[in-house]
Amino acid sequence: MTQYIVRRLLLMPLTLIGVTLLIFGMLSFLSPAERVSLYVRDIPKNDIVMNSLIERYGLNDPFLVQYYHWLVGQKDASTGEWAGGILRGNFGYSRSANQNIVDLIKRRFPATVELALYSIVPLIGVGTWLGIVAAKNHNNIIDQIARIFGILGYSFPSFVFGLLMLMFFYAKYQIFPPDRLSNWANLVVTGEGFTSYTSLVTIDALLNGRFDIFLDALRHLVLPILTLSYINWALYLRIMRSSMLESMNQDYVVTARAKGVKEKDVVNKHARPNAMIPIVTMSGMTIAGLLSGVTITETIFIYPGIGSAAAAASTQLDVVTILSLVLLTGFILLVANLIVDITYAFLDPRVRLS
Amino acid sequence: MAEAQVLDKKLEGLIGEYTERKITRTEKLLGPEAYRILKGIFTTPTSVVGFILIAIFILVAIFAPQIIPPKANALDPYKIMRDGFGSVPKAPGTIWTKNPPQVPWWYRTFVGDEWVHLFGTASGGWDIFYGVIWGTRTAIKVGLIIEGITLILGMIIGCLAAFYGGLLDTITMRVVEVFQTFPFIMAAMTLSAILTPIIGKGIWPATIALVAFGWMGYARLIRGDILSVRERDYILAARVIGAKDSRIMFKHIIPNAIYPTLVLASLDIGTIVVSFAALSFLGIGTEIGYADWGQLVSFARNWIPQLSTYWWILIYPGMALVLFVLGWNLVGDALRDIMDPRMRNR
Repeated sequence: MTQYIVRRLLLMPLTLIGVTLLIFGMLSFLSPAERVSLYVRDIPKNDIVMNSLIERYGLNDPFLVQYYHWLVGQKDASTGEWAGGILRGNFGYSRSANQNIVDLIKRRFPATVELALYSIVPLIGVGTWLGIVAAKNHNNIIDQIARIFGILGYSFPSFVFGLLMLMFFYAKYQIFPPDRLSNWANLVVTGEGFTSYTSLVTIDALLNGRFDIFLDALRHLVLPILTLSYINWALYLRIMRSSMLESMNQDYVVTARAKGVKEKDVVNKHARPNAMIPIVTMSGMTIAGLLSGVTITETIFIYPGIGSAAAAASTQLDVVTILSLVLLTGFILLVANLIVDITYAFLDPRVRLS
Repeated sequence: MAEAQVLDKKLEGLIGEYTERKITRTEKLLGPEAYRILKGIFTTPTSVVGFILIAIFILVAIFAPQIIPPKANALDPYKIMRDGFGSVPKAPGTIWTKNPPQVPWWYRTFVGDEWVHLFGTASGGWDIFYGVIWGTRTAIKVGLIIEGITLILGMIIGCLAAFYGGLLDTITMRVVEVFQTFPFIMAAMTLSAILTPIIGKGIWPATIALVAFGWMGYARLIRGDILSVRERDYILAARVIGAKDSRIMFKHIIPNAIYPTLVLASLDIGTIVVSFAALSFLGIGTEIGYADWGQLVSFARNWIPQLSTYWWILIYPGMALVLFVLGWNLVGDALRDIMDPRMRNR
């Protein structure tokens, strides 16, 4: 077990290097002049100025030298200041968001975390439950309805489903608006007298004793959560259903039935726990996916998370920002993967021993 | 000759004795496994519905110029035709006033002599019916191109990694891991944002980006398949008699390991079309006015507070997308059940 974890931990930096190489590799599709114009506010129209900038930041150096400079930064010969260096947290300036990328992430990431936190239970819980219901009613009408419901959800592109939801619940009935907070609540939250403890609006509202703001924030979260859940339920339904059917056919379930255990207990105590193992792996991946920003859902609901920031950056061809955000999400997913694998090894002795 | 006939007779007797099931000619031709799968997908009601949906979309794509002909002097038929430049969307049924297309025979028979906007227009006078019909062509074209290239790429990489193993395999799997670290849509978005200034707007930046971040799953699957087949005795036998690598690969491994994966993978077209539509929905890739469904749905984004009034901008292209994907998913779902060994005989 320890050996397995150590091996995974040793591989992690290797993958990280690969990830950064890939990102930098994408950046070097652009010519040096194009890269200058990405980072400089006033794009030089004069060739001499352009060339001197390219020279100054070493944009004509060999790939690996540039990669090294991109990672750890380089000392500017004339001013003696460090320029760049993502390891120093110098991600650069985001043109699409008009602020430093580090600040952008600090401001946007909590919103994404909040959405993820509230989505976990409806997404995974209900999806798994649907799978169990379908498996218990194998091949009868409830099973068929559950599956068709699932496939339909799986076939809905998130942007179509999200806009449909907005059409009904916002344009027609104005119950659940887009964005993160209503205007009045936004004024309260940004104003004095409201302390931000966690940057998660719902929790901050409760800590400040503002129940109205808590409700307002929840109201804005309903539609994104619904969208994320519906399009993902099919996946959980499918996996849980087949894994449940498999474990219902195992000998220990037959034994349990034979010794007269109630059907409810057979399902809940004997079949279900073993059928849950694939769900655990899936959940890890889903949570990581949610944390790394749900680009399209956030964009439709104008929800200010990192996903919508990335979408805005890429439509405006703001390569600096989007590369940094992709690096961040890649890192999150990498760590999440590691955690999932280790949990999985704890749960399933077959993995641990091999 | 005579000997063979005698042997045949004997065998026939044996078969007659031990099998009660009649084996049809098709089953003989396809082999029991392929026959079971094919029979399964053509008798499951959901997958039949799926096939019908796919067939309708293919027909629409083929006959797009007959359904709504582009302008005779149009530079690009994929450019959606517009009726003026008015900013207010026109409801379905409004008469097409400026530069209507030619009236085809089916329209004259069923609707009338004058073009109306069957599905309404978006703001800017873009005709949604034109967009949906020609968007079907874009969807199928893009789906086939991306799926084809991705599969071939994934297959080559997976085959090489599995077949030669060792260091090459290790490196390939690390590279796969690196590529899989990124969320698919975000990575594709990034690459197309970088590629757009280089190769210009159109379907290509998104296509390349989706291929670049889509091959890993297939490479992994095929590698796994090959690794399990490679250990079989008949591969060893082929080696022993001195078959070349290429022969083992194409005559023994691919037919036994890869075809099931290929069949399943080809049904990912629905998902791929959605990813492409998602990118163009976000405004990456195709230029405004290009006939593709994601682009059309994105017109609805400008009218979110009034969507209940201008519902047609969302509903028609959205429906096209959902039905298209649903078709592929229905077939894929049935196929997965039939091919899942755990679900057999249940």
